[in-house]
Amino acid sequence: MTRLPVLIKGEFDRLKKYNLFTTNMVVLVFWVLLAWFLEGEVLLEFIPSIFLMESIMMTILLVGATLFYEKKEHTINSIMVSPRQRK
Amino acid sequence: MLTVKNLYYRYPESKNDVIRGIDFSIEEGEIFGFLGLSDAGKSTTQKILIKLLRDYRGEIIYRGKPLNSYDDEFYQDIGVCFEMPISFSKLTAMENLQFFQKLYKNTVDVEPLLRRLGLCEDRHKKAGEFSKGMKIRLNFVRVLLNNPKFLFLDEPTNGLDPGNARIVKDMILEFKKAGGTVFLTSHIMGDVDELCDRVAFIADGELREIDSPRNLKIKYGKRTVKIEYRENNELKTSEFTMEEIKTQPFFDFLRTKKIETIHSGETTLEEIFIKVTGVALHDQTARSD
Repeated sequence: MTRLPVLIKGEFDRLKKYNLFTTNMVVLVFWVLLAWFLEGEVLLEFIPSIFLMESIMMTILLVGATLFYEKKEHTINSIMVSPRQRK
Repeated sequence: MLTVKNLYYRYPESKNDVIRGIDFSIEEGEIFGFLGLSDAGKSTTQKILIKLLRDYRGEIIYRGKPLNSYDDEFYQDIGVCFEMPISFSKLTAMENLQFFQKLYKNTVDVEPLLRRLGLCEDRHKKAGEFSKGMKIRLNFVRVLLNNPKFLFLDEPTNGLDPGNARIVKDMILEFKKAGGTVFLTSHIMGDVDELCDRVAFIADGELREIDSPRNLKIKYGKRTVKIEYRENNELKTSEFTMEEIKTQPFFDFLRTKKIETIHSGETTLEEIFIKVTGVALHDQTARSD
């Protein structure tokens, strides 16, 4: 059995603990509110930009948070000297 | 258990080798100290041995097979303690350990380890709230949680108070007694002297000395006995060679003088470290001139 599910679950647990899910929800609420006040046709024009901005913002946030915490926690090296498979 | 032959390493962006043809072997059940100045090549060597750096030249044999032929079974076998504390700061100590436990096939019960290292009561506290000493102790529990056969320890007692450093050193000695092998890097010469069966000194990417601390002390020490005594209310010192202490005048001296202290000319590992790595520094200066 590969350790990939363990690593992915660990990553999700940490996203929750480090409040990155909460931040994501706040940003989502912001977009929903914006959409609420826009007319249907204008909204359709805006949707590609919203998708683009959302993905860029979330990527920047995730990479930034990962780099910030890795500087303090040094956990990547520890994971790299752990086995890839459990059997 | 581990043999290193003619090892060279150069970082991709560097013009020169940082490791220059080093050879050593570590026997099963041995604590092997690896000492040197900062930037001498200690950490690079450790990174090569734990497979974090792979493009080395030379040969590394682990349990009779080339190191690069191993994959997961090698990581199941070893425990690595990095110099800096490693933990997910927003997770509790227990959550940290449970995360790493899930990556191994064999794990030990961490509660006795936490209890012994004085972390049991704080195991549900976030690691980010721990002091530096507590984080280092948590590191040590993480190192032992897969029941390893070979430990790579980088400054394991650095930042610990004397009481906790004693506990960690006792645990290392118990690990050795149970048949475990240790590759230890430390700047605390007292720890190295106490723990290591053999030590190697690296300077400028080359090995300068490998031997037991005892043999090195004999090699670098003075074969003399220094005696402090009081005469006419004045403190005086006399030094005798090992040959002289077998003769009658020496016994007469001991009988007639008011002796205060007797010291052998044995040197310390710290002095040997300065001598061995100091020479390298002079060499370096001469070369750069």
